Amino acid sequence: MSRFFWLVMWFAAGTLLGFVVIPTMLVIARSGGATFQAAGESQVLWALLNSFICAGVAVVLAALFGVPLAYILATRAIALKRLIEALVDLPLAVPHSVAGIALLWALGKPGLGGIVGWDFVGSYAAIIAAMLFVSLPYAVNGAREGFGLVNQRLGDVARVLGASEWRVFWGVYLPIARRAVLAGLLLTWARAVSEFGAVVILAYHPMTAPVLIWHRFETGGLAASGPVAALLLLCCLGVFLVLRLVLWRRKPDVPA
Amino acid sequence: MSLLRVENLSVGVGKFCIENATLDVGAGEVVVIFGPSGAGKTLLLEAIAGLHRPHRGRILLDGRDITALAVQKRGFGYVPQDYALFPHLDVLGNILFGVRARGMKVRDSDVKHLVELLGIGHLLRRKVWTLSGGECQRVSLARALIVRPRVLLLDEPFGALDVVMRRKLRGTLKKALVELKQAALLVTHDLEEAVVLGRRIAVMRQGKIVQFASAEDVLRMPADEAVAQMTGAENLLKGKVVRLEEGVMCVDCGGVEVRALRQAAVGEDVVLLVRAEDIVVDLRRVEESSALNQIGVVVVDVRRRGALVDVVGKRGDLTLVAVVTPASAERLGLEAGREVFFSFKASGAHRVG
Repeated sequence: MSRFFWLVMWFAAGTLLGFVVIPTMLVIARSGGATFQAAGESQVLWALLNSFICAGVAVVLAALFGVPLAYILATRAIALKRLIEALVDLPLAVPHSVAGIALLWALGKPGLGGIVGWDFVGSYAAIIAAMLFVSLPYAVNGAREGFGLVNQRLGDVARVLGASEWRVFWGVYLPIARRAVLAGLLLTWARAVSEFGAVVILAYHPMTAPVLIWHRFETGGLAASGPVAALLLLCCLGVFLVLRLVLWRRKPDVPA
Repeated sequence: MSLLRVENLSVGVGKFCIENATLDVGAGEVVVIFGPSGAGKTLLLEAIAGLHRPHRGRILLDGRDITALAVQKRGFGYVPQDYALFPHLDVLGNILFGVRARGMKVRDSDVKHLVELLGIGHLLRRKVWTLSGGECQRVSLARALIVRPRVLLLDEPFGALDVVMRRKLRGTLKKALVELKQAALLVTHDLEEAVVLGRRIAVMRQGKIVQFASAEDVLRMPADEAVAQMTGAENLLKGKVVRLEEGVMCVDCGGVEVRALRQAAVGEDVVLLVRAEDIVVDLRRVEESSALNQIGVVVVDVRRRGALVDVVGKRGDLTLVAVVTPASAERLGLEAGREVFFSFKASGAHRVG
């Protein structure tokens, strides 16, 4: 019975992994040498650069604003905590085209952009805002779970021993929750790089890689979009693997 | 003047509340907060540390009101029950955490002296998760002591250790506290620990300090029956005062007359505490003795209690427990059914409450 149980488990797991791996590999395999030709096109390189840099800025913003929110949610007994947690998760539930429209209302001509006379649509700020909006739940939830696993007694001891709240955060909570925080930020970056729906509404230009892929698909079909898609995929996989290796290479300070 | 004084402190968490807690700690003194689980000992300690805001009462340190002072500025040291060592720091990093947080300067020789006093000098570069429970406890203690706290707060510091390690570290702690002349407030539910370490004991029950006295007084003269039971009183004799003699009252306890120092009037119902170790077991009545109580009993049980032997004697409705060494039990041939005399002085029978 035990053997049958594990057979079922492995079948389910293998099917799911295949569902992810096979299409991904097909993108790379079908595009073949055209992928390397695409890498030489300046439009493609700019789009990749736009995606990576804007996603990087979105991650920095998510860390600056999301980690404090996560710390509050994990360590303070505050009113409406459940509501705030639901609000953080809201971008996961909202269709990304809706997120784009919402940001357009808030930051475009009908909103802040109109008030301060700023042409928000089609700017890098619009791309970053769209990326931040859809990816921030990963940053906040990752950090919140990490902080939540820290024994609150450690903070109490640190305070009694004279540590300020800054030192409790920087010297106790953040080092201990570091891996969870970084894992959340890595997912944030991955989600931001791959964002299309919200970005395309706010900024068709300057083009990010997903928008360029869409543009080429619309104008040239699979043959035109496939190599760019494969290139983006390889770049993302490369960055993702390198960061994961860097983050997880060191012997952990805290036992799992 | 007391170093630390807690006056009528009331503090609550959820539905649980501590009410009107009052105690004080003198310079270099160790005071123990003793009580069963759920009595509110830890909450009181944490409130004194500044981790909970009291809704009434005051905390004075050197006469200065620190009730509203931030936890960081109180100058305490803290050893929690689970030691709470910082897992991302090595042993030395843990020990020096408070020093760095307070911006203190400590000499290397001070650190060396302390770690050697606690026997952890060889562990300084170890990661904390590689330490044993006893080592964790000593590192936590070093971390709290190195900041030279005004008062060291210890919450069940030996709670997670086995009996042997507990006894060993109790000695280490006592030695360190004496050598450093360190005032401390220690929470425990272990009576032996409370008596060994505490000069005075605050007994807590259901959120209240029901007695605050010297360890000797808590054992000899518990505030009430519950405290007597908490402190392991074997013989609580209920009776009525039937006669007064010179300095002595005669109490009828289940048909047996027990003499105690005069502490009540004729007709009053009283509860007397007689410690098992105050009872002498004789095979025959001793004619010329200062013990006013010599009660002939029949041994109903002889049972081992650690290194000693409990001898349970019964006469009428009165049951008494005496404690003797195994050698005495063997020499006297104590066994169920044997008739013996239990003797104790009138001054060994204390009125409870």
